[in-house]
Order: sequence, then structure tokens, then C-alpha cells
Amino acid sequence: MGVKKIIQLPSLLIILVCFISPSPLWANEAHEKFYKLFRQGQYIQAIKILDSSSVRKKDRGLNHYLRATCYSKMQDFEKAKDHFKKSLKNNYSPPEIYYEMGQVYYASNDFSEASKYFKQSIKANFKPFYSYYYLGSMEEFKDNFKGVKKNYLKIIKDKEAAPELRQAAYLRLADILIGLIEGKRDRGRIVEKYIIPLLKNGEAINPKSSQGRTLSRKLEEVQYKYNRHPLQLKSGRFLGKKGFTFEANLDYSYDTNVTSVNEANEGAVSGTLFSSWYRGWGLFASYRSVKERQFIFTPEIRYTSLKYNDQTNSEVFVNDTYSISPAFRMEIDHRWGHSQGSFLYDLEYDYTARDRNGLHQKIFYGRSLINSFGEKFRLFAAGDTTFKFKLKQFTSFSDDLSSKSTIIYLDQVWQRKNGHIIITTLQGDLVTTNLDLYSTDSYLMRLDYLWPNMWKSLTAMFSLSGTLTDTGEQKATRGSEKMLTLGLKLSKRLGSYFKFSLAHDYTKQSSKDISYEYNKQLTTLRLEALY
Amino acid sequence: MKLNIMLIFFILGPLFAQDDSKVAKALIVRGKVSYHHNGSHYPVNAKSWLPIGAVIKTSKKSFVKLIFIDKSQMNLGPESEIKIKAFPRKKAGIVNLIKGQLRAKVSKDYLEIKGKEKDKLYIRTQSAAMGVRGTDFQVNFNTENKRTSLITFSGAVAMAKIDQERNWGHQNLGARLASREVVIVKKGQFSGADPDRDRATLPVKISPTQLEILKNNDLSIQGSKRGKLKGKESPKMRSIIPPGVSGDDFMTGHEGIKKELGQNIGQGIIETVEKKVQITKKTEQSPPPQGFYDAKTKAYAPPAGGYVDMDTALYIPPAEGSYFDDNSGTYTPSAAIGSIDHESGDYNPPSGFNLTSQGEFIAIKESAERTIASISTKENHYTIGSKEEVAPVLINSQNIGGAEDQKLVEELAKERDEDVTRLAPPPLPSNFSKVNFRFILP
Repeated sequence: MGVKKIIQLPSLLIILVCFISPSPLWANEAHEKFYKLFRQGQYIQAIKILDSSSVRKKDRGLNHYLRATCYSKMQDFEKAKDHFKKSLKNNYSPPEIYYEMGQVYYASNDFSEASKYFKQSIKANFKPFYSYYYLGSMEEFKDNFKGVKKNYLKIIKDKEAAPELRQAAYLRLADILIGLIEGKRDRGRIVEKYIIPLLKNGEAINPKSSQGRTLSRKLEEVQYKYNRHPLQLKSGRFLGKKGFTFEANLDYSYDTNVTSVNEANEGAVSGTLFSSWYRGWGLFASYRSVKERQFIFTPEIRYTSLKYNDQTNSEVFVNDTYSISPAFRMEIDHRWGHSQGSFLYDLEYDYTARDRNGLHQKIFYGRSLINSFGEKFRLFAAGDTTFKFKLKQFTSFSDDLSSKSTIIYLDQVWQRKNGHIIITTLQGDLVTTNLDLYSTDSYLMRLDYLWPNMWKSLTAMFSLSGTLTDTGEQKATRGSEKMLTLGLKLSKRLGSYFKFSLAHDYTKQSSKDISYEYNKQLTTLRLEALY
Repeated sequence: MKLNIMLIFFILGPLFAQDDSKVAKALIVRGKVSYHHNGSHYPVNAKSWLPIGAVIKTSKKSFVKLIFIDKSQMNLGPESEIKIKAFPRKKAGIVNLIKGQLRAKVSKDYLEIKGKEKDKLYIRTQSAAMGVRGTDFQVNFNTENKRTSLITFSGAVAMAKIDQERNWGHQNLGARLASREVVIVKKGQFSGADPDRDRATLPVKISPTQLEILKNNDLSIQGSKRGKLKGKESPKMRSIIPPGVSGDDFMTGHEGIKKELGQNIGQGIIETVEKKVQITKKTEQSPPPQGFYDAKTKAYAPPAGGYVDMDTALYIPPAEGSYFDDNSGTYTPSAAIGSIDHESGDYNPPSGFNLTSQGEFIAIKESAERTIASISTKENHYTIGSKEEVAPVLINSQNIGGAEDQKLVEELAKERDEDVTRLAPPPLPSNFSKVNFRFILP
């Protein structure tokens, strides 16, 4: 009995120890648990599982590799290196190990070790192009341009490399070159010959990718900085992006006092005291081309049509009109000392047909040809000044009414710091008709105030203009006529292609001859399509 | 189980025999801890009883563990201060975190105590109110930037931004935490509140490494070792991702490990685990890991995977040089923006820099490389490879063309031209208006 007890006691103790002490996990179970924790990003717990599991000899290398991967993910690069090395020592070397070792040495700033492993990774054909990128990047840190070029060119030249990686290599090369040319005399040439092509080639691989967009931004930045931007003229002035413009508009207006031109006295306008709605529409197209980054040519064409709703009263519907107006504009960009300037030349033609006989038939009314020369320059920092001298030849359906005009025009733009814009305009228009009686001289002063995004995306424009007309030979009866116009326009963009606006104008004309005095209010709703 | 219950009664039994005004007992005290109550100051020792209204303060490198009458447990880190505002037996307790860091653990079983409200405990700072429904969380509050950060380790905590002007009693706190702007911060997530933002940030996962270390640190490690690395040189590391590329393609992913382990233990087992993991990930409700911003509701989530700085209560989001870790569903921040102390879980700024409470990295000494001194952690909008949400913080995005301005100006000019046409009186040439001017951009 006593002997039995002695034998039983150690057995019991062994059994007890087996049950009480935490049993090490079997390798397979540990790996299963490890994988679950690893895939949940619980790297510390995952390592603990490996530490507490029993290790088969064949798994030693694998377990070190798994630990190394976890430490690398946790950015504990020293421990990662240690376990990667132990993994290799235990003859465990999966294809990615050299690449991953290169990464941890790279992150620890040990470039010589990192280079060694990345080269091994290239040899093993594991992520070779990414390895080249690391190698190039390390050469950058060492300021070894030859090394940088060599490695990045391997990526650029091989179409098997991922497109975004190739784009990144293009960008890095361009960036380095930009750094190298700082302060050099012929940097403009290098930019044009090497850097811009690098950026363009990189962008062309995939302009819509993230790298493509970065390359595009960089390209603009470089072109702008070195005065090589396609939209930047030689003077440094920038043009808007669009070359082609197409617009269509639809108007619906209410006129409280439809005005009509007195046929017996051209140049004089009187109120009919009739009110009417009218609708109008128009089309406009232009194309801007730039030559030699200095010459801007813009041919354009405009068609407008207007029809009154009141088709019973001829005094009203005689104003039904359509006109076709082609034009050719040219600008020559240049500099005035340190500031930018443009010489302007416009050739404008206009053909107008009107229901002038009140027969519901629009017939030839007149055509005009205007030659204008001018200069736009920056006299003040706040905005441009534009001066134009125009010669106009007007051919009317009636010889007596045909005229020649000399027009002098001046405007000044002021852009305020808050983004608001003020434009002041002065114009003198000296009209000499075939029959001297109808000749007039008019002088206009106008002030516009633009308030972009006044409320949300609503833009407001306030305007005030005054016209003084010297009636020449009719002075005795008409005197000097004065016209005052006040206007407000609210407009809002509707998406990228549409715009809606509402405008209201008040006009008052005074004359010595009471029949030429009138006042009117005009309200217009307009929908525009813009392309 | 029985043993545990007995143990709890053994420890907590005497609590119930105490005076009603005494609501918490200090279990562990390290360093210098004191409280003031009714104008008098008292030292806090292990087993000290603390009454309602007591303001408990810890000094540098100090720490205290408190147990409350409802058995909830709170640890106060170094240089921290709390006020036990209310702790009625049948209502939720209110604890104000005046400054520093607080770790609270409330067991789920205890939350079932009858008569208690939906939120069992309210924690309030100057910028946030938290209703504790879950079990284990940490709150930090910085008095300089008035930011509150909350990390939940298990269970869930409701959080809402508050202003400091109201009387935040039970009713107001309850109402605030029932409002639409409340966020529920679940296990592994972070949310922050600060005076500059209309509402608390949407909960996001923090760095899984920091989370795991913080989870195992009840503030006592942090308390004793705080300041160890601050202001000193930590090992210089660079981002594992080289400059100029997005990180994701450069990392190797989990496929290699999956294949290796599959060969070792059977592909079937690995696939089963993979399926389970995928299901768990799908059921997680979080904002997109790259961050999110809704201009209408002002709901904002920073990119997931960032670090929380315990001192400043700032969230350091993963920025340039980070990469997406498919395992954790977070971005792994670049080593260049700092690291985590592997003992305490504290965030360490990059070598040679200190992080200010305003979110700026300041060079410790003049010679320090100021490579990232311009990082701003004022989380306006961040983006990590995503199109919509966010404006980059580190990316050098100079608007060189000013194309939008140009477009607007041209549009306005044209508008004005047309108006001139329309308003020009008939005697003037009809094309007076065709003023062809353009703006020159500076």
C-alpha cells in the first residue's frame, strides 16, 4: 500500500503540473492564431503567440521572419533587422525577404546595407523596379546624380515597370535637375531642353493618375517660373486656358417704354410710350490662337436676334432686328520697361437687318466696318488701362444716314484687394453723316462695380453711365441731350456650362425737344450656355 | 468566479460602510498626490477616502488609482487634476477632468447596477462631455489648446463637444449626449474635441501599435517614465517609403505570409481564418481610413492610424510617407513624423523636435534639420491618396497659375462688356462694348 502511494505521488504531481501550467501552443495552432492576429493588425499579440508557442526546428526561420514582419509593421526597425537576420541564418529566405530587409535598413538610414539587400532583391527579381527606386532615392540622399540617373532610368526605360512608378521616376529626375540648375546662367535652356520634356513624358504616361496630376502641376510650376508656360506670353502675362469659346443665350425682357429711332432724324431716339415684352437669342463663337508666345489672333462671329411680343403695333415691332457681326482681333504682346503691354488691333464688321418698314419683314438696315488700334498697358498696379482709337464707316439703307465716325476710347480697371472690380470708361464718338444735319458728337462716362460671390455664388454688378450728346446743327431745337442709366445685374453659374442672370436698368434721357425726352425701365432674364 | 466575487467584496465591502459623502478610495499612490476640499488641502495616501467635491491633483511623475463606490476604477496620470463633481448612488457620477490624463475601467457587470441611467458615468472636460457606457477608456485634456482626446480600449463611450459656459449637470450632460452630434467611440477608436471645431471628430482607429501599448499601460508606466525621451535625441529614422511616391505599392502585403503559413498548416485553415477576418472587417463601421469631411454637417474624421500625443491631446495624423496597412485598416505613419515609446505608448516627436500644444513642431536646437518643421496638425482637411476629402498638409501646393481667378475675372469682364452693349444708347456704335481686356495676374 505504502509503495503504491509512493509511486502514485509523482504521477499525480506530473499530471497536476501538466494541467495547471500554461501549455505551450502547438506550432500549427500558433500559426493559425498568429495569422488571425496579424491580419487584424494586432502585431504585439501576434508576436506574443509566437513567443509562447513550441517551435519545431523547421519553423525557426519562418517564425523569425514572421516576427521581423510584425516589428517592421510596428516601425521597430532594429528588432525587425535582428529577426530578419536570424531568419536568414536559419535558412529561411522567402522571395520578399531581401526587399523587406532593404526597406528596414533604408528606414534606419543604413544605406550601404540597404543597397546590398535591394540589389539582392533585384537579382531575385522581386519588385526589381521598386528596388531601383529605393536605390535611386538613396543616391539622391548621397547627392550622387549619376547614381540617381542610372537607377531612375532603369525604371523609366522599362515599360514593364508600373506606370505610376515610371511617372514617379520622371518626377524625381526632373526635381533633381531643377535643384541642380539653380543659379546657373543657361537654366532656361536646360529647363526647355531637359526638364520640360521629362515632365511632359512622365505626365503622358497617365495624366489622370495621382502622379500624372503632380507632374502636371510641376510642369506648370516650372513653365511659369522659367517663363516657358504655353499660356504665358513673353512679357510674363498669362492668358486664360480656353482657346475655343462657344456661347448661346436666350433673353426674355420687359421694356416699359419701347424706344424707336426717328427715321426722319437719324441719331435721335424717342420713347414710344408703349411697353412690351421681347425675346432675344444669340450665338457667339471665337477661337484664340497664340503664335510665338507674343501674337494673339482671335477670329470671332456673333449672331443676335430680337423680336417684340407686340406684333400689332408697328411702332414697337419696327425694332425687330437681327445682326451678324464677324470680327478679327489681334494683340501683340510686349513690355513697357518692367510692365506688360499689348498692342491691339480689331477689325469688326456688322450687318443689321430690321423690320424698319413695319411690314413684319426684316430687311437691310445698315452695315458698319470698324478699324481700331489701341494699347493696353499697366499704368497702375491695380489693373490695366486700355486706350483705343477707332474709325468707323457706317453704310445705311439711306445714303443720307451713312456716316463716318472717329471714336476715342479709354478704360481703367481697378481690382480691389477684396476681389471686387471697378471699371471706369470714357468714350468720345464723333459722327459725321452724309447729311450734316444728322451729325452728332457723343461723350460717355461709365462706372461699373463688380462684386463676385456677393452671396454664395451670386455675383452682382452695379453700373452708372452718363452720355452727353452734342446734336450739332440741330442744337437749336434739341440742345445738348443727356442720358443717365442706372443698372443692377445679378448672375449665378448653374454648373459648369450654364449661367442665369437677372438685370434691371433705368434710363432717363433729357432733351430741349420734349419729344426726345423719355425714361424707361428694362428688366431682362437671361439664360446662357457656355462652352 | 466565486473567488473573484469574494475578492471584490473583500476589497469593496468596506466602501459601502462609509459616510455617503465619501465616494472614492485611493488604492495605489505613487509620487505626490493631494486633494483639496472646502478650502483645505490634504495629502492622498493609499486607502485615503475622497469626498464629493474633492479636487485631486497629481504632481510630476505621480500616479493614483482610485476606486469608486459603484466599483468603477479611475487612474490619474502625472500632472493631472480631476474633480469629483457628483457621485450619487442611483444616478450617473460626474467627474470633471480639469487637466492631464485619466484612465477609467468600468466592468460591464457593474454597469448593470439597477437604477443607474443609460450613461453610468459622465466625464467632462472644458471641451467635451463623455457618457460612459463601456468599460475601458482613456481621456486626455490639455489646458492650453483646450483639446480633449478619447481612446476607447473596450466597450463604447459616447462623446460630444461642449462649450464651457453652461452648467453641465446631469440634465444638460444627458441631453447633450443624446443629441445628434454625439459620436460613439468604440474599441480601438479615437475621437477628439476642441474649441475650433463644431463637433467631436468621427471616431477613427489610431495606430494599432500605440493602441496595444496604451491598453496595457494603466498610466503607471507613463507616469513614472514621462519625460524620458522628450527633448532628447531619439534614433533618427526615415519613412520606409521613399520620397515622391504613394506608399501602398511599395509594401509587400500579406500574400507572402499567407502562402507560407498555408503551406505550413494547410491552405484550408488559412482561408477559413481569412474569411473570419474579412467578416469582422466588414462589420466594422468606421469612416473611410483616408479621412472624411462633410461640409454640410461639419462631420470630420482624420485619416486613421495616427498617433495621440498624451501631453497635447493632439492627434498626429499619418501624412506624407505613410502607407495603408491592409491588416489593421489604418495608415502607418511615416517614422519621420515621430514614433511610439514601446513601454509607455507615449508619442515621441521626430528627432530634434518638440510638439507644441498648437500643433507645431519646433526644433529643439538651431542645428536640427528642419525638414518637417512646417507640419501642422491642425486637422483642417487631410488627404492620403483620396480624391475628395481633404487638403494636404505637407504637400507643396502653390497655386501658380491662378486659373480660377483668371476665369472669374474674364467672365466678369465679359459680363460687363455685354451690359455695356445693352445699355449703350443708340447713337453710339453698337460695338462700343467689345472691350477686349484681360487681367494680368500678379
